[in-house]
Amino acid sequence: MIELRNVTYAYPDTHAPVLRNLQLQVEEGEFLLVIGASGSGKSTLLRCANGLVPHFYGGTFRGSVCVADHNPVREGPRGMSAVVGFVFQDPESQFVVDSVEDELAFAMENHNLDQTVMRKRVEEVLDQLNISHLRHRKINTLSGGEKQRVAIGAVLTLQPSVLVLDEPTSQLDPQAAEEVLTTLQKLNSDMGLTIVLSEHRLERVVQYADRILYLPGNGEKPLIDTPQEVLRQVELTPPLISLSKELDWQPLPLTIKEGRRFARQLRLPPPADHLPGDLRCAQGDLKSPIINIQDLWFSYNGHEALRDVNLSVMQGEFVALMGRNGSGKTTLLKHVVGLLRPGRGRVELWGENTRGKDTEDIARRVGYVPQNPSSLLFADTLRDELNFTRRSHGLDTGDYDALLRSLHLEDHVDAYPRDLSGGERQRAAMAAILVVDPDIILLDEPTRGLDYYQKRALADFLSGKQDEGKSIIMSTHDVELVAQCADRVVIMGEGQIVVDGPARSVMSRSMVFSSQINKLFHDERLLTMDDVLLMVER
Amino acid sequence: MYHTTTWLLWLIAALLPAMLTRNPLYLIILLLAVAVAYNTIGRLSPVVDSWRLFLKAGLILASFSILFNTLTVHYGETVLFTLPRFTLRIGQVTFLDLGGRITLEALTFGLVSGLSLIVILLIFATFNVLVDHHQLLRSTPAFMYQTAMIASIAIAFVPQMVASLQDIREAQAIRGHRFRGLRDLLPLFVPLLTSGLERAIQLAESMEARGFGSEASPQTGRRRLLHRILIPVALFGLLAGVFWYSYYSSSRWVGALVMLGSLGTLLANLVTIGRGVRRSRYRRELWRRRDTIVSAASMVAIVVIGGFWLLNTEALLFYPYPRVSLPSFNPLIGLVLMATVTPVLTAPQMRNKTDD
Repeated sequence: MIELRNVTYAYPDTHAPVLRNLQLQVEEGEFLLVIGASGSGKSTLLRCANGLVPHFYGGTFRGSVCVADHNPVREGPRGMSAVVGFVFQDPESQFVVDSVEDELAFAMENHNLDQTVMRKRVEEVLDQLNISHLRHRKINTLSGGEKQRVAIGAVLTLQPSVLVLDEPTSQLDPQAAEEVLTTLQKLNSDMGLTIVLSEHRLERVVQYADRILYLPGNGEKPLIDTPQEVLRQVELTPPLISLSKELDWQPLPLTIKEGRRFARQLRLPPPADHLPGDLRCAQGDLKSPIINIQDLWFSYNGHEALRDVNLSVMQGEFVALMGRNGSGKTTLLKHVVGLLRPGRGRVELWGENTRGKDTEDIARRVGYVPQNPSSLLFADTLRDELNFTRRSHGLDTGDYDALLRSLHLEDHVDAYPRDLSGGERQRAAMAAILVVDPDIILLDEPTRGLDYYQKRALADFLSGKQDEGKSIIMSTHDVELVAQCADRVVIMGEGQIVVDGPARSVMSRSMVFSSQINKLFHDERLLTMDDVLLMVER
Repeated sequence: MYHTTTWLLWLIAALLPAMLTRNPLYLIILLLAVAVAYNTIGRLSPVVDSWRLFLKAGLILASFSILFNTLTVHYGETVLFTLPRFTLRIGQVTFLDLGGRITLEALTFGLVSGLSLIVILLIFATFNVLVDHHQLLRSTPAFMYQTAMIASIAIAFVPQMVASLQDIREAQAIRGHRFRGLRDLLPLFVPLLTSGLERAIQLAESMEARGFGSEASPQTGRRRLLHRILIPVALFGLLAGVFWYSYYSSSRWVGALVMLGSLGTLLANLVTIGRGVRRSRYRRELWRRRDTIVSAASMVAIVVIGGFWLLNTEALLFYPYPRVSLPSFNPLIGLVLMATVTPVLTAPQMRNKTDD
């Protein structure tokens, strides 16, 4: 179905090719998963399938590509549009018209299809993807998951032979990602559609894939084999796989169900020991809170975003803020830094009410890293970016080696911030906020679009900050990251705090908020791989 | 509720008399008819609030027209009262002449002009409320489909930009950025521009991957060259025709002939280009019987008003100088103006909101 032979490609104005002598063969009806760190050439490879590389991007291309007896290099993306359906990463910026039904028809209109054919196909796609209830909706009223499913529908109307998706869930929360991936699995198994998908969240998708292609980046030789085989050789994998490799479980389990079989046989000491995580919390309680939120209410446009929120955070505490989209996490964080002001109630920092204080002053000691790093970066170099923040706060500029090294950005100090990759940009934004060394760090969904490497780097960085005595509140959907580094979990729902407790007790035996390892053992003592390994050694 | 073409005909049928007549009686009839159309059909529209904005703008413009006309025009025989006069003169030229004789005629003229401004604005406001904008963009002729596409994308871009500007402002505030002067605009402007560009590139990619642009006809080079020459020539001819028509009153027919010929060439060119566009349309609006009725009524109105303007212009005009008199009233014109209410008469039951 897809065949790449000796493909070498370099973007314009670069020396090193992104793809070097790549060979790939995808069978009809196959579900191929493409993995690899950010910048390893996943997107580039996918774009070879419909000719966006090299037609849209230019650069030098060698080798040959053949997709369903078409040649994308010769026919270009327009010619390939009926053969390859391509879905992009960002659900916000790939829609052309305003309503769902018209969006579905757009590609067919471009291909001058007959009106009766169009009507039939629109109906079919609406049913196939289970989105017929959305047909009259406007695109901008849809949720992220609904948008991505409409985007899939919009390319399926041309009845392509191959569906190619470039990290379609990286901007979505777990529930929405689940919706999209289930849809893909159904298309693959019910209709035999060939699917090529690049994805960071292996734990959700690895069981659907027939084969995995691993791109190590830097032009090194890629790896393509069955999921078990590839995951065995790849370094960073989901916790379940990593643990299985450590304990040498064979054959490698891909789902919790498969893993449970091995977990049951593992001999663990009876649950009598003191829990290591609770110790830290107990220490925190002795001090007075540095953030104290009392009876906080806030509403905008008649919608109550926060309802009677009470929260206090100690110095050195790491709090994870979880909950559905729209449950008030961001609104709460913005109240701490003073971007929003309480409708009722009060926010106290170090015992002082923030009412009447400028956001700019609060921000000197409270660092808030917003969700979208692109809204922050504007300067010519990363150094200028950091200087700008220091100067705005009336501080001297200095050298930032230590900070940048801890964020793995030391090589990029003179780079143009917008040229950085997604994960690097995220860290650059973080550097630009944390350069004034605030005592409280607020993070809004910092793991969106990050791969395993970058997540681990982020976890290490935050743990380091916590050891320095900083207090951290992080809003996130990422259960594994929370299991790794948070002491305390606050779960919000409809503007209220639903649960507030130590990470270990909140995160075990929960349907949504349990980590993979916890689901595997059903044991409060075990949240992460390290917990298990420690206990096994004992 | 009605076909887009029907609404376009309605717009012409309402606008034509509003622009041609200065007779306050006709204007009042038109005003009432349009207000009724808005009140019964327009209220269901999602953009209903924009009507009030148009009305406000109309009232402000009208009051200017009334004030200015009454204070600066001193003709007319019926003097109401006299104000102290104020003139601004530089050399021989009078720039401003305020006060003095305030005449009933000047007041009347101001009132009528103001009224016609309000009527025209309200017609546009009502049209704006009644018509589906995306449908309107979709019904642009084939040769302009790319322009229409750009317009509809631009409409969608604006709210996104507003939202991202809000994000950017917040993000910079946290970095201690304060707005003191023009230089401080940069941290807001650069992220807005770059994120807009990034979004545009992704959209372009998505459009190309779905075959947009492949519909442009594989015209031969010679055909395309012919179009490129003929269209500007036709446009120039049109301009020349208008010029001839207005300045050489003895041989107006030459001007009219040149105009017609150029217009024909232009249309023929656009139609052939449009034919070459191989792109189908998903939406097919339904043409119902009520569309036929409203369109027919609008056509009659257009023909009658146009006929009066060509053959008996006086019937439409009203000129208060030198001495104000009651405006004349032609029952046929009055009746024809009522055509603008037909959409209300043939509209389906109002409760039935799902009927489109």
